[in-house]
Amino acid sequence: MTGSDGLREQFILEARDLLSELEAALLELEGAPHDADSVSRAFRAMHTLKGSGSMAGLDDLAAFTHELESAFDQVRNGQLAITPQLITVSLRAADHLGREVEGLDSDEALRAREGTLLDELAAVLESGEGREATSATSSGHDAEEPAELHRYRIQWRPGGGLQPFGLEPVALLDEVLFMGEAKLSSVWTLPARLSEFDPTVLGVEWVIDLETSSDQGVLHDIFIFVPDEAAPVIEDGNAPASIEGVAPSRASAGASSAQPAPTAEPPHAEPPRPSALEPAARAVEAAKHQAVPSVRVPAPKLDRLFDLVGELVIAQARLNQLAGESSNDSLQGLSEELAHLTNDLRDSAMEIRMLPVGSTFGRFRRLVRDLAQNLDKDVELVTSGDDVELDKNVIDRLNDPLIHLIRNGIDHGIESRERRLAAGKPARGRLSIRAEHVSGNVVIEIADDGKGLDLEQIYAKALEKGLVPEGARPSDRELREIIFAAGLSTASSVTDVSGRGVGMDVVRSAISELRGRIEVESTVGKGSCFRVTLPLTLAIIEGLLLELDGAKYVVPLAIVEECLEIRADRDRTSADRGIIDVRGELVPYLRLRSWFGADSVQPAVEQVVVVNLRNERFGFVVDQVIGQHQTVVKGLGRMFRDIRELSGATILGDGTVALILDVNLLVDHLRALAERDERGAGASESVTATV
Amino acid sequence: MKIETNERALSLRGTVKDQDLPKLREVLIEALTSDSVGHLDLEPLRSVDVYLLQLVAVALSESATRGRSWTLGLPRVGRELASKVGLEPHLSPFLREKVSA
Repeated sequence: MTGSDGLREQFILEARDLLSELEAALLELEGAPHDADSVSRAFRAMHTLKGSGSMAGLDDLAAFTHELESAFDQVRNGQLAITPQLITVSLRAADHLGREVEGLDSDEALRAREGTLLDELAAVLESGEGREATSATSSGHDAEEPAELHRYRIQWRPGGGLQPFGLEPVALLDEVLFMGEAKLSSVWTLPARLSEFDPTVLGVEWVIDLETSSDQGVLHDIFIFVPDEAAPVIEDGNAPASIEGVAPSRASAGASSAQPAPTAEPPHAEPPRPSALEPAARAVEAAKHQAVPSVRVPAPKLDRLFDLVGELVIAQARLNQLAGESSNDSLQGLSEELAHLTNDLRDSAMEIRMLPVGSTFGRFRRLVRDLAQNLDKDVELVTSGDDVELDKNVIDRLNDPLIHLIRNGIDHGIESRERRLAAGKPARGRLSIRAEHVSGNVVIEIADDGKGLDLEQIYAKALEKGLVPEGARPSDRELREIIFAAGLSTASSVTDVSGRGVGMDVVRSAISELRGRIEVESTVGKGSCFRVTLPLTLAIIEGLLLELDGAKYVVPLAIVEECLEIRADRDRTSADRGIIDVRGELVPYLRLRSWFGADSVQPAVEQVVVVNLRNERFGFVVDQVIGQHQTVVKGLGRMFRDIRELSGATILGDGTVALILDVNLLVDHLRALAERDERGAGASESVTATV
Repeated sequence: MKIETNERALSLRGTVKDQDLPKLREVLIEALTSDSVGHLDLEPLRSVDVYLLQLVAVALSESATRGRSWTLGLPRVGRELASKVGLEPHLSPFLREKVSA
């Protein structure tokens, strides 16, 4: 990869974050147009995007962003009010920038859209509507009152710190000069002989006295890619001076000069006094240096690292087994030490892949806004648990199912303003997304306060579609489950949002592929809540290794509560399922031997693995519990993809394969059978055993 | 970037890249040592950057120190850049009057 490719790649990663930040700030502003912080966030995102784009050689993108930024500069200065029109055109501009960054459109298409958007922006700026409420600007000052001006002194010796990163010093200089009225002085210190000269090092110190309405954060953003050793010192010129004499003066070994820059704005009548950094500025500087450094790494590299860690875990298990069979103490000691290191490496690698789900939630704000506008509804999005972390790969694959659920919630769930008011509800509907940790899983709830599921309507539709046999009346839970069936939609009309019955079945299968489950609760007139339960990670789990009919199986250890022993002769439990009395609590169980159709002899003593799923306990009878096992999850491949009870496989220390059971699905089977029993439709034997 | 020598004029053409500068430095050192150049022509260059101007400033300064000052041909954008970054005092004494667009 060349330097410019690297810079471009770095820009794309940065731009995604900046556009995401811009969109979030714009959406905040839509709800709170006077919020100074959001105006500042939006402006800084645009400003940094412009500077970074320029450095990456995307001049058209930088120029377009500059126009947008100029509009928000007017907002900051109290010359322009935030209006819905400005937000809408700004969001569309952000979309356009996103497509340009990702290279999704041809140059011609980009330029054409750019022209349209600039025309729209100009129309917003020229309209009286945009300017009439200037007194209500975020900073709270009057339209007539000039924006607060800051004075800064920027002392910059780039040295040799820019060229290795492809940074263009004059572009950065221009960025600073553009911010306001500036006076630039230069001190060049050049060697007398060419043989002593390093052409990659700039022998200059630039000093800029700047008067601007922008805050210091904008200045720092300009130098965001500059390494610390080449970064400028920024002093707040408004602060009282405590150190005098920081004006540039350097002895010259060869030719040197100091001169004011004629290209900058006319010199200010009273240039800021040289001063030491004020405490706040010092704090900013200190924070810059104390912040935890971070490195952007392409996701495929992380995936590769994690694959290798997985292989290492498997190899370690094999070594552990060999060491255990050996009488060599040194080998055993080494194996134990390596096991510790492998565990630490695994945990560290897993931590790297964990991301807060809030990054996904933030993107939904725009979706909710646009959908609500399209459907002429008033919807508020409330999120919580944004800091709950999930494996990056889970988050990536969760996006589409969650979008389906949100779309359905707004389209089918939340009523129109008129209907809500008629039902005694607030005109504004509420969609909430909540994440929390539950029993080693992450649970994400998408709830709306709309009309709820109409079970009678679902039943009628299911009959019509042949999803329910004539004369059969499913339970309420089963009816709720039917909405996940392919082809079922109770919407009376098909819209471009939803109503084609495509979606909920896709949602369920996508979540199943993540080894998760989805449930729905609903109350007519009050709303619905979809609960998605997901494993923390898809890659490595702590498992409990079981044996059944000579084969090995794994269940996630996090959901296992206890293991009990039962004797077939004493407890009369040879049925495929039944109920076991665990210290006074009746726990339904499923005998996996029967379920999988094992034909070997049933052992006299079996084990019941009791699991807890959302405070409900279930048992699974197996031949033997072997013990804890660090499970590197592998896919099963096409041949096994229809066996839904299995969610993956893992390789054991002896090289054999163990299958990972989908406990959620087995519990679903158990529940369905129990309900059938309750209705008297089931003919299976049900036996109660006591432990 | 191409370096061409015609009689006592050393001309630079094309686009200067970062990796061209060390090579150019060696060429200029050789020219100074051998006294083979009297004029440095940057006018055919497509673009001029601050690193190049700095290198040229040192070369010109050394030529003066050696008692055989070179003259310099610089396009208008180069003059404007030199003015902006503060290198004008190091270059203007050597400039030929002709100014190209």
